[in-house]
Amino acid sequence: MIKQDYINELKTNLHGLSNGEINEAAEFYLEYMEDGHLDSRAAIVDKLGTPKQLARKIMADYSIKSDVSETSTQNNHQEKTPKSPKTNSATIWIIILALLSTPVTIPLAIMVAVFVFVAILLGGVAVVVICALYFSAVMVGLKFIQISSALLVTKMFAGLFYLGTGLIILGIAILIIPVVYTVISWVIQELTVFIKFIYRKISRKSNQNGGPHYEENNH
Amino acid sequence: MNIQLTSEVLDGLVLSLLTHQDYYGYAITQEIQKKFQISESTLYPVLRRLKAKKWLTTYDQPFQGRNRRYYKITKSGYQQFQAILEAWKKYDQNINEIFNNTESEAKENDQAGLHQRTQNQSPWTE
Repeated sequence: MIKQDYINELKTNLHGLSNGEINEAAEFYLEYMEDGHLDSRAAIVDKLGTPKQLARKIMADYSIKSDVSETSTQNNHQEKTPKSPKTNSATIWIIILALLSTPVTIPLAIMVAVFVFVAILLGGVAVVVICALYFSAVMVGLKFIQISSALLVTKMFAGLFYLGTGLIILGIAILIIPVVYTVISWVIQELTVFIKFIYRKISRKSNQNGGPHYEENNH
Repeated sequence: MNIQLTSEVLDGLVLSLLTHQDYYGYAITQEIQKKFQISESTLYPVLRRLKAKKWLTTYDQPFQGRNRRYYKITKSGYQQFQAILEAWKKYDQNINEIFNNTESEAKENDQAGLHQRTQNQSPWTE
């Protein structure tokens, strides 16, 4: 029962993984505890860490591993296709969760928190500004068209001018949708890379400080 | 002082063990822990990765009323092991060449009674 409780706790702490992945990890560690005769909670925690720590380790591995295999197969070629913003946000989220449960010294934790916070803030502001600009351009286009509909009857040429300008603005807005999308994914991508970078620095630091021993096997 | 195992070397170690016989998860960790300090949570991601690359397959075998998952090396896994082995030999040779060079230099200096600074002494101590 102790083992099953531990596994259940592990499962509830595994965020952002598919059910299959969660079950696979759960089965592996349940078998591991059986074979290792880890019969008490203390023995389990001594070997594997708390469920939260183990979950953190598993999740961090998922997010970093995809990154590693990507860079190793593409070697020097920096031709990395940006992952969809959705996967990236998921990665950021997983790493934030991981950071929150990392046992690091308080000053370091504060520093990192500030770094990450500022990075997310900057990224967020950039995305919001881009969206706002885009949205206002569309609004201006629509407004012009609205004005033109009133003017067309009274002052036809002025009306045509407004109608044309409005349609041009809307047309450009539609044309640059892919550009806006690329820019936003780029911002999120860079943000993810930055946060991953910080996370690696941290997990290495806390290893040296003799915290719980988690191997960082990549570089 | 411990030198950390890189993921390539860990892959090689696991594949190397599996060329002799099939292992279950706990036994692999035990085998590697005989020589190296690795944490208990190190192997799961390694096995998962090796399986994803189809370098090993798994099968379940009943054991005392439960299942044990065994890991079995595949043909491409064996080829991968050969590749890692080659790379490792080269790495080992390069490291040794540099290390041995420094070591023999230090010995010569000691025998000659020279108080010249050698790599063995830290350049930062007076």
